[in-house]
Order: sequence, then structure tokens, then C-alpha cells
Amino acid sequence: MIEIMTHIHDQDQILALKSSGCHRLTVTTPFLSSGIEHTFDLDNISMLFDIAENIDLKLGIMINRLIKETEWTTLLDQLHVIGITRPSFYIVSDVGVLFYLKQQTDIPVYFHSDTTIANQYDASLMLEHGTDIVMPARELTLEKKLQIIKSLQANIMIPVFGYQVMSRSYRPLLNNYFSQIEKNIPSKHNLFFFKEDQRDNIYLGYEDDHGFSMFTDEVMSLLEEKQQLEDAGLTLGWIDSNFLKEEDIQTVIEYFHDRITLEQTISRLTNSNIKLGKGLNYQDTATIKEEVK
Amino acid sequence: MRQVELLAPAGDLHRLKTAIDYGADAVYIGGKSFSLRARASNFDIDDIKEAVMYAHDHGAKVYVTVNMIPHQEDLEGLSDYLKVLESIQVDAIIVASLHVVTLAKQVTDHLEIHLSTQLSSTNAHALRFYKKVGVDRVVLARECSLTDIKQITSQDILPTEVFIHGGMCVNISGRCTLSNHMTFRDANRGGCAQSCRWKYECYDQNMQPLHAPDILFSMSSKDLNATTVISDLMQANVCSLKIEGRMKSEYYLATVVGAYRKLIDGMRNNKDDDLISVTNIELSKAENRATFSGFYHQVPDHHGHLYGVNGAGVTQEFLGVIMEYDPLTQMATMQVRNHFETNMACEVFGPHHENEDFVMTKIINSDGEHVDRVYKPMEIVQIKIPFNVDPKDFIRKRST
Repeated sequence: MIEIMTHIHDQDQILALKSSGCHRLTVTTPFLSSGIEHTFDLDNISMLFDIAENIDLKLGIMINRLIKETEWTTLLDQLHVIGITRPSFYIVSDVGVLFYLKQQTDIPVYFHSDTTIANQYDASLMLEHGTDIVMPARELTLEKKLQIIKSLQANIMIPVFGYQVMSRSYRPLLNNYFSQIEKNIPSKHNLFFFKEDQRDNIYLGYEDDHGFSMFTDEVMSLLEEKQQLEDAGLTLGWIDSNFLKEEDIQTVIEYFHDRITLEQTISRLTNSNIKLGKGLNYQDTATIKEEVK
Repeated sequence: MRQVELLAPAGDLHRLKTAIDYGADAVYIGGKSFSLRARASNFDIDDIKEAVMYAHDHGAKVYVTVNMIPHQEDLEGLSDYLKVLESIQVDAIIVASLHVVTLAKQVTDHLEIHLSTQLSSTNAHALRFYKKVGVDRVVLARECSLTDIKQITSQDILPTEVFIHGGMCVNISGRCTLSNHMTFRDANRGGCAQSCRWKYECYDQNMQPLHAPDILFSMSSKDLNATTVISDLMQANVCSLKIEGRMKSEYYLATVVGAYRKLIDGMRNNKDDDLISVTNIELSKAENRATFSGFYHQVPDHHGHLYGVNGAGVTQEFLGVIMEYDPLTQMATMQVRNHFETNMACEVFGPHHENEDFVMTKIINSDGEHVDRVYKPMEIVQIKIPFNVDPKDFIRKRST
């Protein structure tokens, strides 16, 4: 069975997803995150840990952005309020944060950079240098991900469902644009859609205090590949919970936890009117092409 | 204040020589494989060997980029390639993978390892991590402010390098897959299609349009121009100041490298606001996009973007390169790059003297004929210049 981990929308999800078989979930604060739709006030984090501990669920902190040197003091302040040893694990994107946490605590630290771990040797090196689980680059094909999974198995987590982030900018691109065209539109913490005139795709965009992120136009789904992933030795899958309904997240978790069939899963998801696709899992990206279509 | 290195890009051997002639202390180039700028001309091994010889003869260094984020299949042949680079005395490699760092440490003895901006280092702890891994220098993320940089360098963990001029990724370097999804070209392995510079319609959650019809949403960034912080970077003991642009022309390199060379040398004495203005006037003659100061002073607002346009035209036209000069006849032999004619106002610039103006009065073409205009690129002609000029000086058209 592939254990599924995800980031929660609200505190009620802790109980709901525990009942679906989840053992590990994540939360984050506005400061610690970028491009995450649901964050929690720092003051409420402790309460969430209390809830999780009461039902024997591991709650982790996600720090999914690069922390600049001038922000380091604030990072330490937030970790102090949370209690650096309180989380069951951390998920980080910054090697500096990884390095610091491993010096301060024995708590597991999972590493994902979205893009930069693209072969088994880089993944293996991150494990040697202190991380406990690595999420390989999102843009790898399924075949390449399977290769890494087979070599490192329990130390690998891959996204199995959700809108995939395509880019993260530290700049408030949407706010900047609205300023340029002199429109007073709140740009933060809302979902926006983008369409390039040569293409039919409608991409998702989200802005917060740490910049702008653009997401794929469809939900990447590896539902049909569950057996293949299990055979390769994958034990941990990730759901990108941004912009998804809670019931859909629960459906997918129940499927991967062998509680419902694929047909039941697809049937439920169909009602939600989300567009499912395979992303780049079956599309290798070349270093160069003759023309851009 | 430590001696700071001016690091310039070069897409081929000819441009490498131009960059060094115009004052670069080091040049970074890409090989035919393993490099991020797949569409830059790139160097084969013989080119790299010649590049190293030329650079070392002129007191400069050569760094070879091995900075793609490698997939498993990209690693074939890497070990041998690294050994060859060391054998031809390349000074350093620029990498974006910890595996490549480790491999280079295993198979080479003297190759210095610089960590690419692709790995987006933004804090001192990241440098501590990479020092432990064996990196010798870190290129900091472009998102670092001047204060970030000062705080990092004050801890003296590893030599640091920062960008000072040229194109900027609007998204965090090494973490963008717009091109991958939109064009199936891998942004992190040299195939970036610059989807960030395209124009997009913008809608709210009810698909109501929010964009202005004449100015669509774009993520396109202006180019970086760090002239206002060069003095601060030098005082912060940044090791190397890097110009972006392996795909840029020799004219661009001569203008930009020459301008920053003079600025850095002038700044060694004291900060001079006039010098910054003069430098910016010079830089404007080469730019093909509008520029701004990046993240150095603040997170960029809308003034840091290009909306509706992809770039501005070059204000000065590159006319040609001086090959030799006869002070007795005041006739210069030059290689033509763009058409020009008599009575045209021109400017000569070079690495060893101030810019000087003249009016084109006499042109003798390659057939020995006196003519009023020339238009064949690469033709060797003679022109009258009423003052001494040096081989490798450039001539540009002056705007009226």
C-alpha cells in the first residue's frame, strides 16, 4: 500500500483524513510557505499539534520556500513558537533550512525542491547529507521516477495527485501587473486563471506574501499507475491539496489506501468537474526542439 | 576591500577573446554537452583548450559550465569530460548538481567547483551545507538583496559570486518548469523557451476578464543593471561580479564588459556618482532590453517588468572592428559589421582609452575604390580616423 501524505486545509481535516488512513499530514504558516492556499496562524499551530497527538497522527511542518538571510531571524522565531522539536517531521525546500534543522534536532526532514533532484545519485546524496525522504523533480517522466524509486524505495515520495506547480517567483507578479494597468484588484490569496493566446490551456495562478506561483491547467493523476508504483517499491505518495475539494482529497486517499476501487474513485471525482491528466509523466522534455508550437 | 573579479560570458572563442580584451578577469563558457545554454554556440574541447591558452596568456581565467540539472541519462560520459577539462587546465566548473560536485571531487584533483545560481542559495546555512559537500564558490540567487548579500559574505563561509548585468529569470532559477509544460522543452537542461515572456489573458474565478486588452499579463523581466551597487558589493567582499549573456554578441560584450571594467577600476578609489552615470550612458548603447536594479534594493515592483514589449531597440549601431591603424595616413583598416556612409557621426570605443567621436569622411572599399557607403558585413575596408585608435577597438554609429 502507498501511504498518502498531504497538506491540510483546516483543522477538521486532521480527523477526517486520519479516518481515511492517513498517518502523516502537514501544516504551515504564511511566513514558512509560498504558493500554499491554506496556511495557519502561528498561534494556532500548537493546537493543531495537540489534535494530532491525541489521535496518534504525525503532523509535520512544511517550509516550502527559500529563506533569505534577512529572514533567518524570523524563521528562528517561528520555529521557537512552534517548538522546534514539536513537529513529527519537516518538509523543506531550502538546503540551508535542512542543514540547520539537522544540526538542531533529530526530527526527520524531508526534502523537495520541486525540480533539482532529477537522478538517483542526487537523491542518494541528499539522503547521505541528512534528509530522510526525498521528492524527485516533478518534471521527470514516470519511467524516470520509477527508476529512482526502485533504487531508493522507502526514502522516496512522489506527487500522485494534484495541480502541479510550474513556477515560483519571489516577485508579486500579479500585483505588479494590476499596478501597471492601474486596476485596484486584490491579488493575494485568490485563485486566478491565465490563458496564453496561442494555446487553449487555462493555467492557475496564486499569489501570497512570498510571490506568485503558476500551476498546471489540469490535475496530475497517477491513479491508474498505483500498482506500477507499488511494484517499484513506492511507499509514500503526496497529494498537492491546493485548489482541490476536501472530499476529492479524501477520495484519492481512500483509493491509495485500498479502501475503494479505481472505478469508485473515478466516479466520485467525475462529479467534481476537475480535469485529470498525466502532466509530464509520459512526456519527456527535450533540451532543445526545432520550433516552439 | 578584496580584489573583485569581473566575470563575463562568451558563446564562442571569438567572443571570449573580445571579453578578455575588454577587461574581463574571467570568462565562463559552455561545452557542447552538459551546459544549460543549449542554444549558445558552445565550445568543443579544442576550442576550450585554445580559450584557456588565450585567457591564461592574458592573465584571465576560464570557467566551464556543467550546469544542467542532470537526468540519469545525462550523466553518461561526464566523468571523462571532467577529467579532460582538468587536463586542459580549465580553472573551474560551474555545476548545478550535488552529484556532479561529488564526481568532480572524485575524478579530478585541481578543478575548482562553483555552484550555479540554479541551486538558488539565499542564506548562510546553505553555504555551510555546500561547503561541507565540497563546493569552492557559490553563485548567490538573484533574489538576494544587497543586505542579504552583505550578511552572507560577512560570515566568510565561501567565496560568493553575484550577477550584475543581463537577463533575469523572473521565476526562481532552477525551479521553473513553465517551458517544460508549455513547450516540452526542459528549462533546467538548456531548452528554456522563455514562456515567462509570453502574454497571457488573466481571469478571475468566474472567468471574468481582468486584463487590459492592450497590455496583457506577462512575467517578462527587465534586464539587471547593478551599477548603483557595485561599490557596495566590492566593500562586502563579494568575490566575483558576473555578467549574464552567453548568447550575446561581441559588440554587447565589448560595450558591457568595457563599461563595468572602467566602473570597477574607478570604484576602487571611491564611489563616484558621475562614474555611474557615465557607465549607464555607455551601457545604454548595447542594451536590447530596458534595465533595472533587480532585487538589490527591494522586491521588484511593476517597474521591473516589460509589458507589451519584449525589448527596446539598440540605440547605437555597431559598425565594425578596427584591425590596424596607420598614424601617418590616419587610415584605419576595419572589418565591417553594419552598413555606414560618409558624413555619418561615429564613435570609437576600446579597452585602453576613452570614447572618441569622429565624422566618417573617407571610405575605401576592399577593391581600393573610394566610395560613399559600404554595406557588406565582414568586408575589409579603410576609413579615415583623425586620432590614434588601437586594433580591436570598436566603431559604433552615434545617435544624432
